[in-house]
Amino acid sequence: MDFSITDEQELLLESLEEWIEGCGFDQRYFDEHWEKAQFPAEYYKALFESPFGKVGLPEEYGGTELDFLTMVLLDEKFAELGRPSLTTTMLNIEDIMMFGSEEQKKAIADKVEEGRLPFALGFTEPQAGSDSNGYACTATRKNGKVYINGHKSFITNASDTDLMLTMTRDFSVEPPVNAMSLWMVPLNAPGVKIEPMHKIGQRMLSMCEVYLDNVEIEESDLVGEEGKGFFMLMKNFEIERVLIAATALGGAKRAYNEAVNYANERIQFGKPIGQFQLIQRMIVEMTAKIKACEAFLYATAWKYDQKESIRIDSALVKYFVTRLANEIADDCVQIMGGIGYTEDSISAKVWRDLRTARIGGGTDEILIHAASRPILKEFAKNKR
Amino acid sequence: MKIVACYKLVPEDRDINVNSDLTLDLSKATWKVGDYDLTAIEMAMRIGEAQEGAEVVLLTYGGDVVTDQKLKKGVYARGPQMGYAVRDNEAFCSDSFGTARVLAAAIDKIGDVDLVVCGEGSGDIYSQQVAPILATLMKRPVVNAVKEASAEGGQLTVKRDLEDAVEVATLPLPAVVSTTSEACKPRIPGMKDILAAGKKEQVVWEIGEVLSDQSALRKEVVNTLSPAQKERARTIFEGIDSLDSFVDALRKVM
Ligand SMILES: Cc1cc2nc3c(=O)[nH]c(=O)nc-3n(C[C@H](O)[C@H](O)[C@H](O)COP(=O)(O)OP(=O)(O)OC[C@H]3O[C@@H](n4cnc5c(N)ncnc54)[C@H](O)[C@@H]3O)c2cc1C
Repeated sequence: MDFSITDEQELLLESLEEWIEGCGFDQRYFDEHWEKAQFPAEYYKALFESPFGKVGLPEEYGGTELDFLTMVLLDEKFAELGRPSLTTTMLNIEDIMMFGSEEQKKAIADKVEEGRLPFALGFTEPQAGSDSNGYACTATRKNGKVYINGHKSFITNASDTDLMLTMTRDFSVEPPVNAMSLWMVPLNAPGVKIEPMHKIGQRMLSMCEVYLDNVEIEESDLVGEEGKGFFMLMKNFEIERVLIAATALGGAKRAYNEAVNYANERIQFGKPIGQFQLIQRMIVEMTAKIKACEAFLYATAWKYDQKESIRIDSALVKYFVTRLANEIADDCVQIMGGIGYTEDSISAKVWRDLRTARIGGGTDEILIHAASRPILKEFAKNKR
Repeated sequence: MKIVACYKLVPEDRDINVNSDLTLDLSKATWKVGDYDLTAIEMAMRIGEAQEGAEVVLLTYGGDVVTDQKLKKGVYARGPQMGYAVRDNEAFCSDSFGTARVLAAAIDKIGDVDLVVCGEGSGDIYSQQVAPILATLMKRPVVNAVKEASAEGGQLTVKRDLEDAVEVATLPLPAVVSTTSEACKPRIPGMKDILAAGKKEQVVWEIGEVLSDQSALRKEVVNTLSPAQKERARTIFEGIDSLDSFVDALRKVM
């Protein structure tokens, strides 16, 4: 068993650190965008032009092919350095490279080349959050065109990109798993209304309600096979869940770096608070949690690279890592005391941002639901 | 046109510990490329890229660390086609003159070199002397503190910032230059560059293959000490009348 990180991975992470340090966007830039809940467009444009913008995009589309483990390490590093990551773009690229037509692949590559976010993911609806059988958005064919109707909820980036990969349902087909399809819907087309919501964290990325009223699209906007949308959604989740875990772990490390330093510096009762055993316990638990998260996360990404199924592991790893990451951030706020509850502390920001990692991409409860059944089934099958 | 960019591997400053006798403990230090040298490599790349068919190669002199594969990949990922390393287990005993002699001999061995680009100073000793000594040994013109350079028709045009003017000078090639630390921003390698760097050739010469007589290189370093740290005196002088006693106090400590 080899747990070493390669020279190439290490150098790439060092490159990322060097790029972030020299890219010209400082903490103030991000704080201002956070405050105004504004998408950091200039930063993303520069990022897409950097050597990191096209990671995951195959060579023939002008990108740099990378193994999933290295992408996970990169995504985690972005979060540890406190910078918006490539999660959504990496996920977009994986989705389209897996299921898209040649034309769609080219279009996505061109958008990344131009420094624009590829597309938003339009799955969730008001009545269908965890319950993905409940999607009710429809695609209707008329005179050689396709018309999309419905209401999508909580859609990340919808106000900052011009496409949405949209899940629709054909009500004439049963069961629902065979009735779902994915379409690439332009968000600047007539009939689209977008209303941003107010999030308590992760404020630089918008989260919007998207209303689709007879939005006209082409037959060629179908992504993958008709009726296979549910299957594609599950594949998307495998990648998404691992990437969410990666950024959650990176965020937790960022808070941890602040809090452990603070424990060495802050003097109370005549000594650094790090000398108190109750603080030491938090530090030791956080450290052990980080190591456990790393091991599970990297092993899962590695497994994906070996072409093994991560259907269950992706659910388990997101469940495990995002919960521990939240616990770590919470302990960091505790170690920081009062200053840890102010905008001046990194731990506070991380704490606020991390909470959603236990909701989006499958809630804790849904992940338990997804992982537990196959585990029990496996035991039932192998009963001795 | 063949351009040689020189770099030195130096201990990471934040890993250097000061012992109680003020000597430096490098045992825990990881190594890195001197920051100033990355600027030199970038300048060499820019001059080279503007010239049809130019070749940019790297040269370093140091201990076993010169063949460390991760460090090698990290530097070679910055663009140059290939490079040379002179390995000498006693390289740390060499001063600027010794280093310049080794580099001059290596450049001679490389052959047909039109331009040598050095950094502002090494990341550790920072004497800023290697480039001028190297040029003197090679009997070539030299300009230091170059912030921009371009080559054309056997000539190098360089720009330097003076106090309130920009000096533009031309010098015939072959020549040696050293850059300012801020001359240009080193390019950031992506995965493709890093992977390619692993495959680039590094020719390794033992010191004996480059210089048969090394006696001039060997200096005895008596010690390298960190300046003693002093507690702040926290003496406060108040009012204009205390100016004299303030100056006296300053004199005493200086
Ligand atoms: C920041 C953020 C960004 C998002 N971005 C996107 C996006 O880009 N695209 C997109 O399509 N969606 C997005 N979402 C939506 C997200 O996927 C949903 O919020 C999530 O799937 C949960 O759905 P819900 O909010 O409707 O909660 P519900 O499904 O209503 O769940 C409410 C509670 O009930 C629990 N629950 C539900 N069913 C069960 C069950 N069977 N057993 C036990 N407990 C259950 C849940 O775990 C949860 O605790 C985003 C959400 C957030 C917070």
